[in-house]
Amino acid sequence: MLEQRRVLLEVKNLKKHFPLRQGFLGRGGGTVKAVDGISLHILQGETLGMVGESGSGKTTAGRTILRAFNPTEGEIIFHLQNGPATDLAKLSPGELRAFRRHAQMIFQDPYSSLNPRMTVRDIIAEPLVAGGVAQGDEVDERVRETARRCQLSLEHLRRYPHAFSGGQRQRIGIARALVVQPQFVVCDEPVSALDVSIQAQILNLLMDMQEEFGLTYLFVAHDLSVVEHVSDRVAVMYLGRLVEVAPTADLFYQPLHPYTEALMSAIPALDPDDVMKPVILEGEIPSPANPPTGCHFHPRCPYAQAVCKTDTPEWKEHKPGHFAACHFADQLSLKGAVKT
Amino acid sequence: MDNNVLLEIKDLHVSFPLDEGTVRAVDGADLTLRRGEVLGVVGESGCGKSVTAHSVLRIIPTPGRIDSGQILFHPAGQSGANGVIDLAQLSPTGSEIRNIRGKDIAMIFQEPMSSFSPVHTIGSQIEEAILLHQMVSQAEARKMTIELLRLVGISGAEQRVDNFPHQFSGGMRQRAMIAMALSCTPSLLIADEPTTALDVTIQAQILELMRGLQKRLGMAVMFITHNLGVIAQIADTVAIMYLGQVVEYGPVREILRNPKHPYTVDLLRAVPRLGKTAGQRLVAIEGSIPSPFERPSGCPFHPRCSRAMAGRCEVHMPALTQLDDQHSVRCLLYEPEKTNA
Repeated sequence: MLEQRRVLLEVKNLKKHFPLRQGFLGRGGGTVKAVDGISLHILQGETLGMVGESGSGKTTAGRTILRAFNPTEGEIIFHLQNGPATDLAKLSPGELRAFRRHAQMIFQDPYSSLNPRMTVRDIIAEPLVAGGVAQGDEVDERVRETARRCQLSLEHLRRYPHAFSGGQRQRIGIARALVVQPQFVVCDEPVSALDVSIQAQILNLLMDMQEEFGLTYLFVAHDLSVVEHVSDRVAVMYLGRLVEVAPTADLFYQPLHPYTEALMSAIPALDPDDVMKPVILEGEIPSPANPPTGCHFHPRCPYAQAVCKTDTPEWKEHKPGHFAACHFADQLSLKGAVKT
Repeated sequence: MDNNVLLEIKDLHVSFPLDEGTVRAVDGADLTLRRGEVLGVVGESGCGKSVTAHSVLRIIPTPGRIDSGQILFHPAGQSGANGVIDLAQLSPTGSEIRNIRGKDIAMIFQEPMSSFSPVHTIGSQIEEAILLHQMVSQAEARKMTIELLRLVGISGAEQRVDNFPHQFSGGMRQRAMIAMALSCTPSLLIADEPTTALDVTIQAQILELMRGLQKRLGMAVMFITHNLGVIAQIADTVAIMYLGQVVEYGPVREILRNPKHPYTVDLLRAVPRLGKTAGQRLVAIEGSIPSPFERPSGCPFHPRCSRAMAGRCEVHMPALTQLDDQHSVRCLLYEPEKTNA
């Protein structure tokens, strides 16, 4: 079924390098390759989960795809409904501003992502006004309608963010993103700051909104059970590169990359009798300023061979829709997550 | 009375008088922790799990204070009433509690970044803890420190001992924190969300380490977390807290498989489960955690409870009901009907 959906977003060889400033003149010091050449596509109406540990570049990737950061290299091509293909990387600031109505973002921290000096009404209205999407009474009408769908009451609109709990703030953040009726939303860790009982409410809201408006999500998160819950497909990042992309069940239960296997083995199962047997990775995630040669994962990989040190593995489709970057993806038989 | 009891918290009340009103952070909490056991304390923000733990060491931030209740600590090797210390009665700045802190009861914190002084080496901070409580020379303390760092799996401990905290990664800082906590072989280790700030692969390593050390050293651990998966992996006994009270207490398998309190039941339904809930709606708990200034009357969970009984739950505060000798629950559904209560 998914195969017949059209492609909404194509990312080709996207790179985002941050210069490191060192010395008196702030020159030299090399670059942090936060995102170092990722290519992926997202289908209309699906959720692509993106996982990885701190420093893997998943947040930077999500932000660069919306051009919150200007990419160092690469293409970000949107195929909007009833519109021509647009390469976001090439838009001028004015064009970019007009494009924002199609692609929005929901942030992790519901405390710092809302301006404390604005009322909830003004916060939600801002993308409409700033993007010139609506004027006058239409603004208020759309703010009220979106707030209602996000289960905020009209009385809430007059208040300021400090009066709200974390879960309600996240609803405000969602309403702000959805008020312009975007086609694509990057959700950057939208539930990781929330309590378990509130997390379920917000996940349900995001899934309801997706169904109602046919939204496409890039869902960046580190909680693997949340990602499994919401995603149609999942991408795994390690040190700025993609190591594996696959339909959710394939990635979780038949991974092809040793790093994915290690991640899956580290999920604490909810059953005390499913004792976790984590694949212990040697050392820590290296600095993206000075990544290892060859396969970035080789110094920590339990299956590494000589070739891994020297050659960067090819990004290859091993099974339909199942991509991985590992020299031995076809030879290893890796363990997946334990179902609870 | 069970001889194996190490710590008993009885009807503990802790409040914070603030300008906006008084916050009753812990409101009648009861807990028992046996020697060599891992007790998982689970709850959402504002449930009082951290304040309860801080009360044991008497390090509640000002203006918090213990209003009533007992925190009975039974140190090893001393039996009878003389050996029991009520930590709630000690002065928080007195010498008695300072002799216990770090020696009999140690603590590790969530934030491995901010728990170490940035201007002293990791080694000197662990040595300081050793020298404070044990009669050893500086050189011996240093040797013990290196040994401890090795024990928690820090490679090249001889060199690493002279590193500053910023030279350690998050996972290594948490290991060093554990080394410091273990330096005086405490009988109780309080771990306040020790893996929450860590990545999942590092979390798995720290959990393995703690489980191994706990078995080897036979210490009891009070493990505070909001992550039910972590609880399943590490705890023997679980206490579920909501708004300052322990609402359910029992063996880990019992709590996770046969939960009784509606809050525990709903909490377990609200978490996504691998291979089970993908693509489905979760069963969310309605409403939000009440503001600490507006505590609901009666059972504090009743406004969000799917099984609340009108006319009872908003009136009566349920007492802790013993379901069997290990499992207890604080809910009117299980309370024997009182006559004209």
